[in-house]
Amino acid sequence: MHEQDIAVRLERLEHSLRRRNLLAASMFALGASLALIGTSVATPDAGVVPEIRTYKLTVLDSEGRTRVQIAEDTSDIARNSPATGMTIYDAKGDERGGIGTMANGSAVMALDAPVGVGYKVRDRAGMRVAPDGTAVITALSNEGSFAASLVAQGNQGRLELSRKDSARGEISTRVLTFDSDSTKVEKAP
Amino acid sequence: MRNLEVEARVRKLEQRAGRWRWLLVAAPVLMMSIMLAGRGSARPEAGIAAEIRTHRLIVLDHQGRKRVEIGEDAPDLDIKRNARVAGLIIFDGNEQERGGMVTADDGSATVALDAPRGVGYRVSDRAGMKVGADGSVLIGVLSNAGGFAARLIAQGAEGQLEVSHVDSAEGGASTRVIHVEADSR
Repeated sequence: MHEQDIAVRLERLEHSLRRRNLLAASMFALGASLALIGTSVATPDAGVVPEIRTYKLTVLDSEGRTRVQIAEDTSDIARNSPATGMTIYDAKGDERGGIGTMANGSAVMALDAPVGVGYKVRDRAGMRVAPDGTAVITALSNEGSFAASLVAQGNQGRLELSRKDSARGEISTRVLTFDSDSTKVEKAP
Repeated sequence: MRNLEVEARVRKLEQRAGRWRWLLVAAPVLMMSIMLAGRGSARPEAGIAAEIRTHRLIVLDHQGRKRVEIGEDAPDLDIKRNARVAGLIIFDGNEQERGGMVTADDGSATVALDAPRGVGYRVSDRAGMKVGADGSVLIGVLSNAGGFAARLIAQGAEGQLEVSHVDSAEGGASTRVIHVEADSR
């Protein structure tokens, strides 16, 4: 009777050991696989990430200053309409332009003057396609008004050249189209 | 005596085997957790990093060629520029620089597009927009002959258009300048 009991218990132990050996082999295989994935040995393009998904990408220069950022505007940024895209910054950390789409439906590329140079609104050059398809490529002066613009609107294009007379508080604009050349004078805002 | 010794050895083995039984339960749980973490199922926004910060981002095409680079010019850059720049640079299928949107150490901000290498004048810039450190603006297109073909300028309080023509025989350039109130050559 006792010998029979021992035999049953030995059989159970043998079965248990077989399972343990199988588990140990599985764990070894899993560990090796994870190690290969971790060191990228299993992929042919080591160090290449197929896709990066993020809400914000910030690129720093050698001194740790933000020079490029790709993201959606945060709520504290003052703009006509919130933008999402790429913004560039100069070595002083000031925004100097960008390319993006805006919440009002337009797509914009703009370059700004350095902080403290010319009119307080720093936009100086850019191109914009409005939600209705109107396109403008423009240069603004340090006086804070449009200086030269190429405009595509409706079925034609035009060139606008402007000059601001601060003493008189007037802006003169010459408009050249395919078949006309005129000048208008408006009160400066 | 012999039976007692066998009994003691079997009991010891049973106790040891019992201690390992927890591993049978823990191992599948561990593996499942690793799989879930790998597939991102454990997070609400799978695979999206809140923010990535780097000194350089390079985007490759399907053939592994560099097509976009965001960063600062390397100190040993083989392309000659007026000033060191930081921003986004685009490259063509031959990995030649074809343009970018940058700020430069001279205080300017620029967008530029270049001709392919070997096409036209050796300085490859062909279209661009620049705001200088003094706030002056230039939007221009350049011809393969070299030099601006047409440009819009904002300087001081006014703007002007310049349209140029290069005389191949004489090597000189003629420029028509259109101001607000007059045209000149």
